[in-house]
Amino acid sequence: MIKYLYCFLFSVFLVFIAQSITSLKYINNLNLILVALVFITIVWGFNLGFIFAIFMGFLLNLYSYLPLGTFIVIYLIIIGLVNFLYKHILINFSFVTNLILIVLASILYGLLLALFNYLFFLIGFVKIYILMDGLVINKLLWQVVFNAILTSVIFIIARIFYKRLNSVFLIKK
Amino acid sequence: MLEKRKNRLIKFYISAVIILLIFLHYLNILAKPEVYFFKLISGAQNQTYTFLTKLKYSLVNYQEAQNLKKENFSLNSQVNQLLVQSVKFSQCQQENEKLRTTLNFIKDKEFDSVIAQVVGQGIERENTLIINKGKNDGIYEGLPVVVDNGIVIGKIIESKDNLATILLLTDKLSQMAVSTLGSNKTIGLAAGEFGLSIKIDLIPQNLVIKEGDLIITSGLENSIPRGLISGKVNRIISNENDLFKSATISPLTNYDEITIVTVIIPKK
Repeated sequence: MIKYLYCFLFSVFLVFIAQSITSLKYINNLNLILVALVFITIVWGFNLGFIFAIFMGFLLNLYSYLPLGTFIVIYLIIIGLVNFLYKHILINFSFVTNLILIVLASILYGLLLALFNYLFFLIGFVKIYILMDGLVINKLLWQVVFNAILTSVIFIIARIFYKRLNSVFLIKK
Repeated sequence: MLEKRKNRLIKFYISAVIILLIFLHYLNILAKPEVYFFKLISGAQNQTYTFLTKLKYSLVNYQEAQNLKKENFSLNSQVNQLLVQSVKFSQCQQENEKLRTTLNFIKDKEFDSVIAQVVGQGIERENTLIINKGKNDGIYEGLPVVVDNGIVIGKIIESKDNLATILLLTDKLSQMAVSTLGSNKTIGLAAGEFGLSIKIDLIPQNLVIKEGDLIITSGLENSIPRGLISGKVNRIISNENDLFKSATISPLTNYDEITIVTVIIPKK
């Protein structure tokens, strides 16, 4: 049970940081939580990804104008897809497949967020929605780029400093 | 097998707890713990946000300092001329202070205000700010949010018990009835443009409006009093054959630097 308490505390820390960096002009394109979730799901498996998706989604939703539970659903869909792709299609874990997964996750996140926001707008739960105009698509593309860069950095650092992880990366599953 | 079953059980329990929490949230039973959570975290959140905002601008300022050195030389010559003008300004300042006292008095009669700290920008959407005050402080949807001496920056679009979301004026979905200083009636609806500026469409051709004019809220909306400054006209788009013209307004404050705001609440 103590493991889940650590997970929760780490989630609080990550949501806190993610919310604080929104003031930084270029770094705010980075989706710290999504990168962490995808990385956790790939390296430590779906179970832990599931726990983090629920904790982070719940905490993040407290700051959001979207109805409570929206982020949990979005993150669960994403880690479900990532887990499926990792186990059935992108089996060979490498630098490239890692990038493909984060790119797909980032695009899916942007689309799901816009979709859910629009649905809640139509129902009347929220007053605004995300206009999929040039600015939003531009931000989404930058988010993909920044997320890919961060994932690559984490991947490289993990390979250098964590031998156990290194063996996980290299063994063909 | 046993491990798998255990994991499934834990996942089930956590999901059940979260669903229960969501359920309790909507029943308002969790209101108090949520208030404590936000009180615990919002102070530090604001400090971090403010620190990072200041850090960002100090780095930008360093780069700008190099350019400013060059400008400084030419500006020195202008200083002498400005000294003469400063005497005139001091007289104007005294007059201004008297007027401001009167204005504040009038404002005090019209509405209350709540000062709030910005804890971050909306993570799911551009052009939104999150503040650490909400329904418990009397903030509700549609209220105008101002900075400094009455420069309106947006409206509250969602209010929870102890935090609220502001939609900035520069957002495409943001709309506010505006007027010019000299006009008594609404000249149009100001809506955001590209997240950078504000545009007013459907201004009658016969209405006199020029670049540099101050644009204020018209008071047409119930919750938004007249006289809050929205921005300054920087471009007028007009064709002689058209029935209407439009104007682009530039905001008077940098929305990225905002850390403290005031929410205006009309007196009932």
